[in-house]
Amino acid sequence: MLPVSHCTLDHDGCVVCSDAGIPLRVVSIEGDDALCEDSAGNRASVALELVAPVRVGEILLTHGGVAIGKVEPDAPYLVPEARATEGRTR
Amino acid sequence: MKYVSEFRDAELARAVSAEIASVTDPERHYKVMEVCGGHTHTIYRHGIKDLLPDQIELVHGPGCPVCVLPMGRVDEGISIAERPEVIFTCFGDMMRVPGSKGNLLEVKAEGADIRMVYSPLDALRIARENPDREVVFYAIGFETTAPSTALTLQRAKKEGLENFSVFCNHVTIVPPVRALLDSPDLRLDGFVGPGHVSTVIGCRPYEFMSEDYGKPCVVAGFEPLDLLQSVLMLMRQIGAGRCEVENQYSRIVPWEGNLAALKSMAEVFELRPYFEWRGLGFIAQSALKLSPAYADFDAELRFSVPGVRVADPKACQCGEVLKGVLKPHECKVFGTACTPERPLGALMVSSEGACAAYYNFGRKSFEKVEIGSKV
Ligand code: SF4
Repeated sequence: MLPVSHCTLDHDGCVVCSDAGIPLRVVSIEGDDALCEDSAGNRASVALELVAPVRVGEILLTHGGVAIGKVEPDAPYLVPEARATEGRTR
Repeated sequence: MKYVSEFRDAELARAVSAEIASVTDPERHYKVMEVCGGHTHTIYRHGIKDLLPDQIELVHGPGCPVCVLPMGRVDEGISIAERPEVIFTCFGDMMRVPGSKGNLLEVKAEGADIRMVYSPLDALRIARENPDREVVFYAIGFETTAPSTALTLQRAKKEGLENFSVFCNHVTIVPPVRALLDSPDLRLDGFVGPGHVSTVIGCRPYEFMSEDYGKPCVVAGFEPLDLLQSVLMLMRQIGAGRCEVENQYSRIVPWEGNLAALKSMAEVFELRPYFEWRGLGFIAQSALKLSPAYADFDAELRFSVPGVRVADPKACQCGEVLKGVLKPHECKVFGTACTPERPLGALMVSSEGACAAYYNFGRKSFEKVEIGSKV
């Protein structure tokens, strides 16, 4: 499973309407495009210009075949504000 | 980073839910708008409403790109698609959006060459493979999608492709939200901001909500727990009398956005002076068209699109639902004359449209969906 979200290339519905951002791991790079893989092993070609430079292994946020962001591997995924509730039950 | 399965951790969700309840004033009613259609979908699909106190009402916003497209723009797309020299390409849901005389699927059945694509780059490939045909891409979407159209046009220009053009219907998120805040119909307490749009534009563009209107905004991710946390962050702000822009989705959204994507958009697009939104009317500077440098790729110019205005069918109340004034099931034709199989209004087309989401998930008396379950 890639961090970020459950969304994969199998995503049902329209990528645009759902404002889908699909996290994909870079497998190989050729020029301005990369072969990328989702958490289910599906592969797709992704345009890299908007997030360059990119390295193999990085995780990109992709939308309609174009990378629009990078996932920071060390970013906390629960913001501190919300984290305060972790483990607390009432 | 921990595994993503925690985003659907039922226990954590219940803890956040309890925390929300503890900061909710039982004497008060709160109206929170989720701007993005993707959030509307998550809310219904995962039964988020059931995890919130009754005092918190979630109002669906205008953030579904096919839902806000006025009928005239659908008709104009269809008129381009019907031209014999054209291969017309568009995203999946666009095919079923009703125009005044049918939708693209029906026109395709009658013989027009209309192809569904996953990416505008697929349309570019089709143009390369069919040099004797005119390939038109029907571009829709907010700032999440506009960069991919911009990048595609930059590649087309670099390659000198002459048989490719774009019918541009990209819209921007901030002006309609401002229009809603100016509307006397609606009293909102805060906003759940769109996550992936913000990957591109960052969080700064929402500062007007707190500065000019005194409304807090929390930019949110799309997993069930993301939404719950965002509501909690909003409720804490409201409780403390704060109003700020906060970023719950910081694992993806940089505060400044994606500067390369913004630069690419700035080169390829310029703001239209005004654009019509379904239900919201004409909103100044709320949509994009191709810049003079890309005029050669503008399908509106290439095919002399006239820009006609077409009124919505009388029975349809999409406008009220888009503004959050009516709930989907309160529309007169909901579930009768208008269903996902035969949509009368655009909000019934994509599963992110408020009416379709409500029809598919909400209608069944809000059966509880276990948040830890795999859907
Ligand atoms: S039920 Fe159909 S016509 Fe009524 S608001 Fe929803 S989409 Fe529009």
